[in-house]
Amino acid sequence: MKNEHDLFSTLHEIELSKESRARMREAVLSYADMHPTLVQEERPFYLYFLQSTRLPLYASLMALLVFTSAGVSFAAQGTVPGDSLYAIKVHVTEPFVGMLVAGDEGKARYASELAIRRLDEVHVLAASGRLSESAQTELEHAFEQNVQIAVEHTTSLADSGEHETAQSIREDFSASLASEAVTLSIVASSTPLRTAALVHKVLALSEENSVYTSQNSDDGEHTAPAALLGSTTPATADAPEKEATARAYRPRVLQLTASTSLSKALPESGSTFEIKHDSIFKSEDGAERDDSRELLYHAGDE
Amino acid sequence: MDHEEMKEQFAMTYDAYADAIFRFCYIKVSSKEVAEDVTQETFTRYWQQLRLGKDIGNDRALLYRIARNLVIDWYRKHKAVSLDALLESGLEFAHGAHLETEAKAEFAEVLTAVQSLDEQSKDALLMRFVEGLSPKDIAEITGETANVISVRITRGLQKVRDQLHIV
Repeated sequence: MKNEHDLFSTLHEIELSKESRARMREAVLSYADMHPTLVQEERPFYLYFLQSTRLPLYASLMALLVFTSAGVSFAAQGTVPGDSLYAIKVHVTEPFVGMLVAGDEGKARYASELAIRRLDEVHVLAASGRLSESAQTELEHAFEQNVQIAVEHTTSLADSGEHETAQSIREDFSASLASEAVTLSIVASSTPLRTAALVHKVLALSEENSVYTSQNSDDGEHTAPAALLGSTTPATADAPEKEATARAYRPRVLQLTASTSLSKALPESGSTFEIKHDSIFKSEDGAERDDSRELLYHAGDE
Repeated sequence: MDHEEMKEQFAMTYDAYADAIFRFCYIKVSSKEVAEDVTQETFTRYWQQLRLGKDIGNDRALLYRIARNLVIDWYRKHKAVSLDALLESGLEFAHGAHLETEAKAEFAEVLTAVQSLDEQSKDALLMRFVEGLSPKDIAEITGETANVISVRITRGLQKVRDQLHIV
């Protein structure tokens, strides 16, 4: 009679080829070199403090806290690149708050918040006609850095078994990115063309994070907008037909709600697509106002 | 521990578990290329935990947990590859062995039986009988009790035997 070990003995013999094993070993060790350890050697506190090359920075921070009024930090809050206090915001206030945030969840959420803040700054500059290429480059770089930090900490949470928390962070981030994509697309047509590329990037990130929320939809599949938008990765069996129809005769419609997953639709240069932003809210007098917008967005050459 | 020491420890962990993680992923995703990608991603994520200075405890359990999560993510985005494609994908076996026709048929039968199980039973069986993990180790990876794992293994094994018509 065959026992368990007989049954599975052949499966146990499966292994990586020598070439694959060696290639992969080199790749993961290269990755380790590109992402060096963050863990410091243990030293007595006073030696660490006195010998630290960051002592001037610590001293500066202490002086800033003691001699600078809280109003300066507060005033720096709403600044954008080009404003005199912007450097205080991104190089002092935000890192200081970051140091106070503990744990993977806190750090992931804070990094997500900073990523969204950088997109807000793009929008503010664009809306006031002050968005230069250098400012956009700086803000995009900062956005990507914070996204990377958020991803690392969220992944760490998931790998530690805290799947629900990681999913919650992804859902919130996806929704925030979706909202930013809408506001950026409104100004994209009147700003440097790279803003359109930024909208695409933000949409793709929102989509990536929303894959984890697809289980929450009624049919468990990632369907509605992607099927209509000519996505390169149709979500349903009949999506290619819908895709062809959508492309052929009418502007693409991007239906956004708080929980909708966005497609990775990347409008071809010269094409037109429409954004519908459904937003009904109550104004101060209690009446409902419909802030839904239907905008035609024309994708320029990139 | 400085970077070089940690990297050396990481390399030793890779050498010890790369084949096992690949094997686990391969049987679940049915594609050599995907299994290699997932294996590599597993080790880069494992490095991320190391570099953050986290107290990992059981390295092997963490590697399986990461691999399992990555496979689940992959399932969300892709459909399963056919068994035929899997068998034609050019597998390597230990000591350079090649499967003769009869062994190939038996291999395909066992694989089909295992892949017909639900994911939880499949994981338990693979980790127990292919990777040699104890129910306690498996419980640590899945976040369940050893008792639940033991029951799942027993039932899963019976289903495989039934499929293969083995008493």
